[in-house]
Amino acid sequence: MKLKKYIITPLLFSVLLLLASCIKDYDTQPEPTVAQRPLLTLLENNYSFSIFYQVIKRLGMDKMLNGTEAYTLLVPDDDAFALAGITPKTVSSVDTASLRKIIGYHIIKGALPYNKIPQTVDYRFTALTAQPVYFSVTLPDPNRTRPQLLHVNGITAKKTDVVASNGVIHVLEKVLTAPAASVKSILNNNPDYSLFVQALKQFGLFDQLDKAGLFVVLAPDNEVFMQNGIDESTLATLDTLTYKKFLFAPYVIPGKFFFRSDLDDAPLTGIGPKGVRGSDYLLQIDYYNFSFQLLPDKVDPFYFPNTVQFTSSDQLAFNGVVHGINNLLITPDYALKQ
Amino acid sequence: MKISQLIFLLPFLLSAAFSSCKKYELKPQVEDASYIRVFNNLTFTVDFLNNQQTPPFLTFLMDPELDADGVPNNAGIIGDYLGTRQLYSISYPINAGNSSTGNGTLNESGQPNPPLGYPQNYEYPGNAHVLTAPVINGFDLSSWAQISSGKHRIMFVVRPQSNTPFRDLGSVQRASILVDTTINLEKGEVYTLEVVSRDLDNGKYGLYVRKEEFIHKAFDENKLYAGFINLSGKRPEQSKYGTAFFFPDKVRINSTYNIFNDAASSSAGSYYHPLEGYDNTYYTTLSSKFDQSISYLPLPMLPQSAFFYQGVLRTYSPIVSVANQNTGTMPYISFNMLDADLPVTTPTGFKLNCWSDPAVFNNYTFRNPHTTPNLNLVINSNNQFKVYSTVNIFEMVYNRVYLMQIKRGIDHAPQN
Repeated sequence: MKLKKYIITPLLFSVLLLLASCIKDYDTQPEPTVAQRPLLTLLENNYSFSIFYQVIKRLGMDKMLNGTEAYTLLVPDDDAFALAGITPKTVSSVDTASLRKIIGYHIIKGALPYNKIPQTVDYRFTALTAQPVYFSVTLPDPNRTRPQLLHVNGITAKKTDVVASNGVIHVLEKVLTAPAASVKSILNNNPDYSLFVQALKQFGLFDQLDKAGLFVVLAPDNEVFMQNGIDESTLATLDTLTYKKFLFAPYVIPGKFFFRSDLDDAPLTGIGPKGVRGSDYLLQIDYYNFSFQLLPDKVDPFYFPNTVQFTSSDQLAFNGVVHGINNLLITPDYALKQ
Repeated sequence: MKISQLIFLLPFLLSAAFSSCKKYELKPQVEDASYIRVFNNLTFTVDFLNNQQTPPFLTFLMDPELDADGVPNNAGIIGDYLGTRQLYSISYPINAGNSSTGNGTLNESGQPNPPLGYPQNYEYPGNAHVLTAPVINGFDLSSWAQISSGKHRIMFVVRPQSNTPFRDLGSVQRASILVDTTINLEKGEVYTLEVVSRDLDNGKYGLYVRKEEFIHKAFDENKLYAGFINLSGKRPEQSKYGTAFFFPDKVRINSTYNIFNDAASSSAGSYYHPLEGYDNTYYTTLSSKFDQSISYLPLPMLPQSAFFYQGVLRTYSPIVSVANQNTGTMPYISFNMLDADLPVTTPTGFKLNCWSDPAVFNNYTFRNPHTTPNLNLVINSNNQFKVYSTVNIFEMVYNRVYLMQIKRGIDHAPQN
C-alpha cells in the first residue's frame, strides 16, 4: 500500500511529465491552394470578360492561354470596353491585325500578382507587342491610410489577382491605349490642341517634343483658349519679346513622367518645393486635389493664380505623357514684361 | 524527515534532471576574419516627380546565389528589411533586446508615429545573431559582424516594404538590383559599408566602403575625437533654388565647446559660454566627398566634476523642444558647417548641437535633424555615473548628419 502511494503513483506521474516534455513538432501548415483553372477557363466562365474572351477566340489565342506558359492579362471588363465604344459587334467586324495590336498590349509574359510587382510607380514592363506598360502601386505610408491600388498606365485595376494555374488576371476600368510615337504627335494629331500647338511654336517650345527626353505636357484645348478670349489672331500677337516666357513654358515639364494616379500613389514627401521649379516660377502641384497653380517669382501684386485641373489625363507617348487641363495657368496680362 | 518522504520527491527531481537545460556548443570563430557593418544611407524616397529614384528599403546580400535567369534567390548572408539608418549608431548594439521593427517612435512634436506593418532593420548585423568583432584597439566593436576575409560579391536589392522575406519575393522584385560589386576584405580589418546615392536627379547609386582607421590609431584616452566626412552625392537640381537645405560641395567646419553658466542662468533663461580656446574655432574644410580617411579633431575631456552640479548629474537638452522648457545643463560640443566658397564672415550654415540624451535619441524621427547625442558618454555602473570619452564619425548626407559613436571598452573607469 505504502509502495503504491509513495513510489508508484509519483513515478507514473513523473513519467507522464517526461512524456509531455517531449519535443513538439511544428504545426503543419495547410498547403496553399493552387489555382487549378487556366486563364482561358477563367475568361470563358466570367461573363464580365465576355468581350475579351471573344477577341481571344477570334485571334486564335485560346491555345496560348490554355497552355503552361505563364501570362499576366490586363483585362478590361465589358463595361470598360463599352466605355471605349467597343461592343461584341465591333469585335467581330474589326480586322484582326488591329485587334491583335490592342489585345497584345494587354498581355505580359510571366505571372505578376500584386505582391510581386515592384513597390514603386511607373515600373516599366513590356507587353507582347513589345511596347512599354507602366505599373504603379500605392506606396506604403503609415501616415496615410489609402487603399493599396494597382494602376496600369494610370488606369485603376478594379480587381487584382484573379489567379489562374498559368498566370494572373488584373481587371481594368478602361481599355489601355498603346503609346503614341511622341508627345508632339499626340498634340499634332488632335485638332482640339491646335491653338496650344500654335502657342508652343511661337514660344519655341514645340520642336523639342519629339526628342527622346521625357516630357509631361499640360495641354489646354482650344475651348480653354476661347474661354479666355484668345483665338488664333490674338494668339499670333503673343511673343517672347512682349511676354515673359512663363506664359507658356510651365506647360512643358521636361525630364518628368507621371500619370494622374501617381499623384496619389506617390505623393511628394521630400523637402523642397512642392512642385516643379522653372527659372523664374514654381509650378505648384497640389497632389491632394490633383490641381496645379503657377506661382511666378516676380509678378503683379494683384495676381491670383488659376487653379487648374486635369481633364483628359494620361495620354501616353513613348517620350512622355500629355494631360489635358481645364484652364490656362496664367493669362497674358499677368505675363507682360514691365 | 522520513526516507519515504524523500522517495516521494525523487521522481520530481528526476523529471527535472531529464528536462533540464542543454548547453549549446559555441559557434566556432571565423578563421582569418574581417569585420563588416552595413548601412543604408538613402534618405529620399520615390514620389511622382522623382520616380526614377529608388525606395530606400533594401536587402543586403553577400555572396549571392543566382537562379537560371541570373536573379539572386539566396545568399551566404542576407541582411533583409534594411531601412534607412538611424541618425545615431553606436559601436555595440543598443537595441539588442528590442524588436527590430520601427514601431514606437515619436515624431518631432513628440507624438507617436503610426506603427509600421512590416519589419525594419537599421543596419546589418544590428540585432542579428552573428559572431561579432572583438575589442580592437580598446574599442568595443560588437556592432561589426565577423566574416571570412577575401573577395566577396556584394549585392543590394530594392525590396518592397512588406512582411515577405527576400527569398519569397517575386523574381521581378528580386531582380531590381541597386548595387552589384565585388570587394576585397583584408584579414583583421574593420569595414563600414554604406549604400549611398551619387546623383539623386539621375538615380545613380553606389556602395561606399571605408576601411576603418580608428583601430590602428593611437587615441588619447582623455580626449574626445570628432571626424567629419561628406557622403552626399551630386547636389540635386532643386537645391539651386534655395528652397531646401543641402550641404555645399566644400564645407568649412568650426567647433564650439559649450559650458553651462550656472551663475547667469535661472528659471527665466539658461546661458552657455564657450570653453576658452574652443569658441567657434576653425577645425577643417572638407573639399572632397566620399573620402576614405578621416582627420580627427581632438577635443578636451573635461574633468568628471564638470558633469555634476552639487553631486547630481547635469541634464541633457530635451530632444523635442517644449515651450517654457530650458535647455539642458550638460557641457556639449556644437559644430557649425558653412559653405567654404562663401566669405568667412557669412554666418549662415548648418549648426549641429551634440547635446541630446543617447538613450532616447533614436526613439525620435526627425524631418530636419540638427542635433546628435552628447559626445561625452555617461554610463551608470554600480550606481555611479562615469563619463567616458568617445571617438565620433560624423557622416554628412545631403541635409543631415549621421553620428557613429565608437565607445571604448569599459573595463576600467576613466582617469580624468
